[in-house]
Amino acid sequence: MKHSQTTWQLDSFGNYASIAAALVWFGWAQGRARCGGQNKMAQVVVLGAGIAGHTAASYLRTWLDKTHEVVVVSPQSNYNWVPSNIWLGLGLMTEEQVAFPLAPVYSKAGIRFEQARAVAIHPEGSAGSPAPYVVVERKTPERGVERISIPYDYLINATGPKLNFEATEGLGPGKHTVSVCTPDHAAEAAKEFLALVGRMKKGDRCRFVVGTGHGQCTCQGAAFEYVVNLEFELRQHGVRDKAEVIFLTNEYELGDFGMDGAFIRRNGYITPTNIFTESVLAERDIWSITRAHVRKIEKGRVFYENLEGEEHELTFDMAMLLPPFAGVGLQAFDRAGEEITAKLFAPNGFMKVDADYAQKPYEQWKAADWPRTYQCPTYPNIFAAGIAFAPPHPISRPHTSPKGTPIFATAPRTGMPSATIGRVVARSIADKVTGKKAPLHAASMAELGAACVASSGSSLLKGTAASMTVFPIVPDYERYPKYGRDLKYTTGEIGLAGHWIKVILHYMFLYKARLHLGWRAIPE
Amino acid sequence: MKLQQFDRHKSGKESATVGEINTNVYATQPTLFTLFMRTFLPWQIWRFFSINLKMMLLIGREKHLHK
Repeated sequence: MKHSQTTWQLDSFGNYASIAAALVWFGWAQGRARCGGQNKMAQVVVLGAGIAGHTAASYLRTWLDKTHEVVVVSPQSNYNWVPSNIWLGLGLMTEEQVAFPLAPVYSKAGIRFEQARAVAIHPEGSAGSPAPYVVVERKTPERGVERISIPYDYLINATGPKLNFEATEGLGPGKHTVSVCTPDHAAEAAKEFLALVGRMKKGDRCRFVVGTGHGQCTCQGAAFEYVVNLEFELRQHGVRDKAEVIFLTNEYELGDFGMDGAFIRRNGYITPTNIFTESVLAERDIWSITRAHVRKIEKGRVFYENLEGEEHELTFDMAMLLPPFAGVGLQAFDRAGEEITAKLFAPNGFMKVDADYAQKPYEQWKAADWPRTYQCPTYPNIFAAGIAFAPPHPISRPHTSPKGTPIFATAPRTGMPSATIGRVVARSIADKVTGKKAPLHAASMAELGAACVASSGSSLLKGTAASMTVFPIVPDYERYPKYGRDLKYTTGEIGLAGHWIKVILHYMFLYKARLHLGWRAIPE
Repeated sequence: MKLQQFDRHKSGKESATVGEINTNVYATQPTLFTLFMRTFLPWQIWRFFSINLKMMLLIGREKHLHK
């Protein structure tokens, strides 16, 4: 009896242990199931650590458990909050205030970081192995420049643009103009600006030309913000009367901003953005030249062609002209080593995704032409996010000069839409990795809004800002027949409040990008 | 309006081929009251919350459309 009791106790203990073990296993299995039964380790490679790439990698790391690897490949060691380069470019901020090193952030988050430049994609693997991989080029002090292969299960191309300064002779830092596209460029611009302020304080007169350095540029919003800031700073330095400020742009009308302009509800009127923008410039005595394709730049002289085909030139003491964008020049190869770049990329180097790329006239463009999932049609495990995807066509009406030069603003894809696309692509991949049977997530620019705050000054009481919201970015004339956009959400106004928002956004988005506590609560 | 009329800058060096430049003199200009309201703190505090709300609604609308 005693023996049997002992046995029972032992058995009972054994049973309890078995039940406990089963429960632990069941809990673990449930946890795994919730994570999608992530038994097979997946490797997601993100090319680029800009706004889209960094957002995608950060969310992937949150949504995938640690059995999966998230790898970020970027030639830059720092994350740069690009919108604040405007302030850096006038000496109002330092490089450290607009950028931070990525390695410690990724190390803490559990993301593998390769500081390297992506060179080629092999979506079918090689003759020896069907596993797809990317070839990257990295520089180490020990080995110099070396090429390595990084295999992937899913790939996000978020390389951003190549700053195509070569498209215009004499354009860019190290040549005859400055830029604010990177912290280095912006710091150089600030140096040049402050040197000219010094000269003006001694009585010199100077001319500043700000705008776009080619007929096919985008990012007019950034150039507009820079010119407004520059004018504000000239007043702050007490030298405004010594300066001429000219806004030189490829837009057909001021306020086009690469999105075919917009109509905004403002002070009881529905006002086109060209009236709004023209007013902002007029108030500050900033002159403008529109419909200009900058052809060549020499020291202190810019040569441009206008839409009538006339050739003109303009002298300057400082010119901040943005370059056109192109793809970064990634190549693609099939299993046999044959080049298939044209299959994956449009001729401008941006990646083809689920857009309608059929050539059609402006009148037939539709909101539905724009991509929704950013998945590569030929290789479903490849996605493109942010500037890296090829738009189906511009948003603004195309114009060509009698000489055949295209002069119009190309489609913007920076900032808010880039981050949203990055998050949505990450969500789709996370679902696929975890085995969730769900359709791909979507974020069409014809269903995305954008907020743009062009602020001047960086202190809290002295600046003002032109704040604009548009919805959607790509006008949808089927849904909103008259204006192409929802006027409830397409607004614009000028004031100190917008300036506060810009300052807050600067700190908030850098906090989010550093992946500090609660970063996911901050919207893109 | 031609730039030469306004060219107070290095007149000797300026090319005769300067194109048309818009000095925006006929653009809409703000009144003194509008300028005052742009920096009038109580009004701007209200606008701050209003613009923020608008941006949040915009984000909310995007999410609704993409569901």
